[in-house]
Amino acid sequence: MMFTSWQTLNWSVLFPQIIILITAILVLLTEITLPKEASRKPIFLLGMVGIVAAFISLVVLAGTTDTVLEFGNALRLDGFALLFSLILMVGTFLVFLLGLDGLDEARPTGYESEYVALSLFALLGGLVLAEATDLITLFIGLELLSISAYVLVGVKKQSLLATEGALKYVLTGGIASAVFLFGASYLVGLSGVTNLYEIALVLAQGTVMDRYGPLVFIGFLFMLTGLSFKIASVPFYMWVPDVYQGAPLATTTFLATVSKTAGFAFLIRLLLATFYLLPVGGQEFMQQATPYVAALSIASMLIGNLLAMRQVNLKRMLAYSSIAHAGYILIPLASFNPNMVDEMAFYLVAYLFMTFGAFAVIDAAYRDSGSYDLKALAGLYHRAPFLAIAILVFMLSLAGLPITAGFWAKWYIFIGAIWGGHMVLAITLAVASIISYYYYFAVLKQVFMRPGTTERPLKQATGSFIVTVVAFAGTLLIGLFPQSILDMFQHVFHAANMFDLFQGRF
Amino acid sequence: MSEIALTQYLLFGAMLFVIGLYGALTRRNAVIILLSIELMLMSANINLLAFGRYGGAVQMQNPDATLAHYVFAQSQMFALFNIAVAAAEVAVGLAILIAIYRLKETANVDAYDTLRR
Repeated sequence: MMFTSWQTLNWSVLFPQIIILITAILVLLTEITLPKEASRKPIFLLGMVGIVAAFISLVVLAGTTDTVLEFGNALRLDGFALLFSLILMVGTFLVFLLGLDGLDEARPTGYESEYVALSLFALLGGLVLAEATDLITLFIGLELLSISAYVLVGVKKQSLLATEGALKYVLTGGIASAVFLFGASYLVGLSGVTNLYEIALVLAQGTVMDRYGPLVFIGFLFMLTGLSFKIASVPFYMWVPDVYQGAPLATTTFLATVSKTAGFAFLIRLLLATFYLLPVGGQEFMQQATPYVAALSIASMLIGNLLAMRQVNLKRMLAYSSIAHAGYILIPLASFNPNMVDEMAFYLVAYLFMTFGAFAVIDAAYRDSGSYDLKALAGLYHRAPFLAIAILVFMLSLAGLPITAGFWAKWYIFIGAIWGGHMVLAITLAVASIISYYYYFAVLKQVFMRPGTTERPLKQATGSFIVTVVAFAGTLLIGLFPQSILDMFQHVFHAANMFDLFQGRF
Repeated sequence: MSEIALTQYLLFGAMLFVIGLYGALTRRNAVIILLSIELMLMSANINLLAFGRYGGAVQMQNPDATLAHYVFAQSQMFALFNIAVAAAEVAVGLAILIAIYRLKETANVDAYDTLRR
């Protein structure tokens, strides 16, 4: 262990995080100087400028470095970290665009600046999470993201729905982090180190796994369960519909995309760097672990899709659909193959675009009718043809039908599951997708075939219009050129190679 | 008098965790639920500190490991961070509870059923 003074540390690996932190503080300072009745749009613009600056610094880092280990190996800037940081930044940027015209209704809530600052703090937590390899750093990043998100849900504190959602979120989240921490305490205690890669090295020594295997296995189960809260899969999924429904729409989108992506970044790093290759009695730990991941995946796919069929509230429907998508994204973690990380990242990018698109259209309908009911979309085709075509693409993509991003995302995961030898997972994926057609097409039926209460043209706010266009373009472009996106993940980021797992296999 | 061993501490930690989980799942008062969550978080710290005092798997196998002091420090350091995080989490939880109490005038979680209707 070499100790260095703070001047000699390579601070450049933290530039994106530092820029986000400074922007968040600037936002809070600007709020003090703004008069009470002034528009809060400049605050959102300031937040977006901060994210763009951090994005540029990240791209510069990506151009100059190979894998960098810094801060006593607590941070590891590799292709995996870069890839997930980029997804998180794009997500938060789009959230700001969506919130630009008031958080989810025409009149301002008075907490816009706090909203922007907390979103930036949450993004900071996510960025730390993507880069960190030390359990302490990872846990701090996770909690920074979670605690900011609790407040983001309840930011409209005069609204009963929002505060109720926030309370349910914070109580479930507290239990989940305690479960996670209890599992982590066995792992850290047994190995005596907190770095994910070092834990694997220590536990792989001698007969440690033979004697303490059960404790490590308990640690694995508890950590997996705790993280299932962040990625919104079974078993910690009960909060999802209530919180998605109660939260302001921009926060709901944030939870569905940024928070989920960060959770997956943590889960992938944890499972691949620490657990999967531990030797257990001549086998690898993977053989014991993957059935549990597969079980969570199957349960999430089925529960999410079956319960979504009964929903008439659009936010609740997309919440159950979000649980199902978490199940789809878990498949590569259960079916070990060289493309697993790329498949998950591809799915997360596709899911980011189609979720933002769907929520932006729902946002427009809500601002017009004041309701999240399925019927709020009735007659949309006559009132706003572009929005109707856009939501058609987003729903086809969420359902996984061709020429959209969602189809290729599911296709790669399907192929990967067969490659990894998990036919059951592949078949469940297909069956679950077919079930999901039912409720995605129920939305389209309202949009195209039901008469609305009015024929008045529907005007979308500027911010959510931009989000719709970006998401529309993204979903179609990824759908038309999937291979080039996947190639980029494989060759620019080398995300899967960061774990040294595939040498001598396949 | 026999010395207390690592196993006792781990059992104590596990018991505390289970008691906390039971409380969090069965009690209807939101303040008690937050309290139970705090118990669960602290049970992890008991594990960490016990491992830090007695050493983990590697030390048990070779008791004369020279790295002992440095290695023990890491799990104790983790516990320190956890205490700070747990405090922040409960502070936010209580703040949200106060916000909802102003609207509902009750801390009973069964009364919070406006959603899902």
